[in-house]
Amino acid sequence: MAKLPVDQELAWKEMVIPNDLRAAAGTERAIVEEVERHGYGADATFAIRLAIEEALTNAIKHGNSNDPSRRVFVRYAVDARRAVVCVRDEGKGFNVEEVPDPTAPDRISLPNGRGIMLMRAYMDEITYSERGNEVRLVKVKQ
Amino acid sequence: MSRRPTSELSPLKIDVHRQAECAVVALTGGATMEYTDQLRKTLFELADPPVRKLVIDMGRLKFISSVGLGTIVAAYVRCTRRGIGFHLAGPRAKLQEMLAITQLTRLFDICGSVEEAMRR
Repeated sequence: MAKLPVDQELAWKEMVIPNDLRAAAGTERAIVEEVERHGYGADATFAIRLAIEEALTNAIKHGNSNDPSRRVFVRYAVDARRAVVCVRDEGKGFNVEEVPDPTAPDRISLPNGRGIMLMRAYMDEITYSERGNEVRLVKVKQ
Repeated sequence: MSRRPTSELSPLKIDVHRQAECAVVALTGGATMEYTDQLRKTLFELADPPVRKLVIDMGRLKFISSVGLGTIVAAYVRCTRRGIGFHLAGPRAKLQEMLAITQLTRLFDICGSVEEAMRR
């Protein structure tokens, strides 16, 4: 499996959480608080919160198939220049290139499929592992 | 006393106002992953006659994820199939931006205010 880009100079924090939306919400709050402590603006904070929410929801519901015996692995590092968040699930992964366009006429009225589009729109970098069970999100502080 | 972070979201509050055949659902705070089921339940319960028009007041909604947007899409589809008018009212700039990015502006009737939605 290809390794995701390594950010050696960053001080990483790691969390392992149960496959549960309530637990994930606590993780999201912890990262957002750290982002705010580093003085990221309202727009960047909104973007990071949204991307984390999308990544965690995808990991729990799609990657881990709502299986309560599975876990979600979160690594994050926030400094004065950038915020990096990696979210990994225990699923078999997927090919992001095969995700259909949610704005296509036959998909626009479907309730799902917009998470990756929003992560791409609001973050500066979004990268998937080769297996497709880990996403790496980067927001550069303006 | 510790300062409350400006980014902190209040839990989603859902207020329903019924007036004749219209229902206005006012959302306040953050429609985060924990509250999507509650939002879906409320909207689906209202998306049936005798309601003829459903307005979602987004003026005090600070955050919504794709799952929350999808819940609103599902309610829109349900309403449309039942001949019920469906309108969004007063989304803040960030949420308006999300609606534009996802091109849901093509799907929804988005009004500047609840009053405008009620006149439609």
